[in-house]
Amino acid sequence: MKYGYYPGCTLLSSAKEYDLSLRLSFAQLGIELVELDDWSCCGAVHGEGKGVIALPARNLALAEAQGLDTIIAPCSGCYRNLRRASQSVQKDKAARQMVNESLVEGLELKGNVRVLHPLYVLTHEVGLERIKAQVVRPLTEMKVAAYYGCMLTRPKDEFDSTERPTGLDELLVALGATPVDYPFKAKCCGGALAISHSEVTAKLTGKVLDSAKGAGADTVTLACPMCHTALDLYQGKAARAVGHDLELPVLYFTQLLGLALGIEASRLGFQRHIVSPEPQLARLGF
Amino acid sequence: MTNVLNPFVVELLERPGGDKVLQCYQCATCSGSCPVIDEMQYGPRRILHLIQSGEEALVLSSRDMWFCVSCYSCASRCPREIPITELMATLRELAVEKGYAEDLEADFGQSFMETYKHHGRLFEPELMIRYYLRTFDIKGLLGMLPLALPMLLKDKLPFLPERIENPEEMEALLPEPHTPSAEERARRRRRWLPWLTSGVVTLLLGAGGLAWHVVAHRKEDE
Repeated sequence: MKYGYYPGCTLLSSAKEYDLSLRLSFAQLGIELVELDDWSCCGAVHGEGKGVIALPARNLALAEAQGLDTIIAPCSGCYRNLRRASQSVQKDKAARQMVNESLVEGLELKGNVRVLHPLYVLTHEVGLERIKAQVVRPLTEMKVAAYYGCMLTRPKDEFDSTERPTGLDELLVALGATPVDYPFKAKCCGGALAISHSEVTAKLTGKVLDSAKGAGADTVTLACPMCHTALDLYQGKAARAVGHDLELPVLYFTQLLGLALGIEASRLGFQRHIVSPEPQLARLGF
Repeated sequence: MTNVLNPFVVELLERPGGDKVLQCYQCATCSGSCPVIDEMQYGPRRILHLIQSGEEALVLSSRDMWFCVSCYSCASRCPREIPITELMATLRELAVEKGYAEDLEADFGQSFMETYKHHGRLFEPELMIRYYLRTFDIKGLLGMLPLALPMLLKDKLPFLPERIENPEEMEALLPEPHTPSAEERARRRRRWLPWLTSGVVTLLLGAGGLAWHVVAHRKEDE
């Protein structure tokens, strides 16, 4: 299995541990990732006008030029943007023409690139049964709240429900962990306002973490670097917003996958978290 | 038959997310689903009603679209399939173009765009410098400082930007700068500081980049 890989800006800086654990655990599963050469920012939620489509579309054109028919985007925001651009140029001739007029000479987008989130590579392409068969260190005794956030499941795609998604929970079961059900799993963390209105981020993140904790979770797992910033870095602010301690380590699903596949904990970037998962992992023998 | 559409609706019909505004029948599923409804003045349902009523100034000077967290809860539930999230983004753009935008999030968006345009990728320290120089949001900055140290200690802030080969490629991917009308300029005039500081920062960073380039090349020549 071979996929083009679009890391996105944060995976080079604040979310290095996501990049690290994704590369290691996918290699362990025999999935080859080819990083897209010269990839550029997708615009996040700050693309303007034609840039909303053209910024991510440049990366689709690069993928085509580099012979990659599918690219995976680990950030939910990048995933949404690349997917929207891909759908838009496939169904709308005018959009495709606009993109091609905006691209540097020599680069042309025909519009046949498939965009996937790495979680869906696991659940829909590799298959959970195959992953389960490769688990050497089941995550028993871990009670994990799967946090989906927004753009992983919305707008609607063919992979999961927008209201009650289950993909991450099913992966957790395959890894031997116990998923915890809680009402805020697909509610927003407010990460988009983390700088300009951080009190809103703290409030929304507080509700999510409080809901997960109340349901008995000892860990949260997620699939987006922006959500991670909110739930991990802003957890202190979130705790002040809800009025009590939260103390919930927040791990990328690829880190849990890596652990279960037998990759050494020291290689999965756990020392990079603000709320340290290390005491808990040590207790569980990792 | 005379055209009964108000000019604001006509303008929105051509924009992303704006082509279905007339389909709204005010069921309020959107406002009921919105996680930031408490922060808004009107909420999405009333915003749609105000748009249908042609209340351009009320809509564009409201704070609502700046608090939209782009979570798609409203849009994915809307029984009329109105892409409200995209509509909110369009309202942000219009508010900037027409000189109504005053929210800090407007400055954040502009700083974000200037940063990725500069390198082809995001560079967080530059984004922060651009944003705080643009806004002088001292209260916000003080709230952020306690987070900066742990970020540095955990190696979550890069020191050097990642760049694409030719960052000039970015320019053509973005819309041409909007030329404001006299009326829009008058509204914008209250906001001279951000425009000035973002210009100065761009110049300084450009000069710094050029100097670095020259030094790096001189080394290569040696």
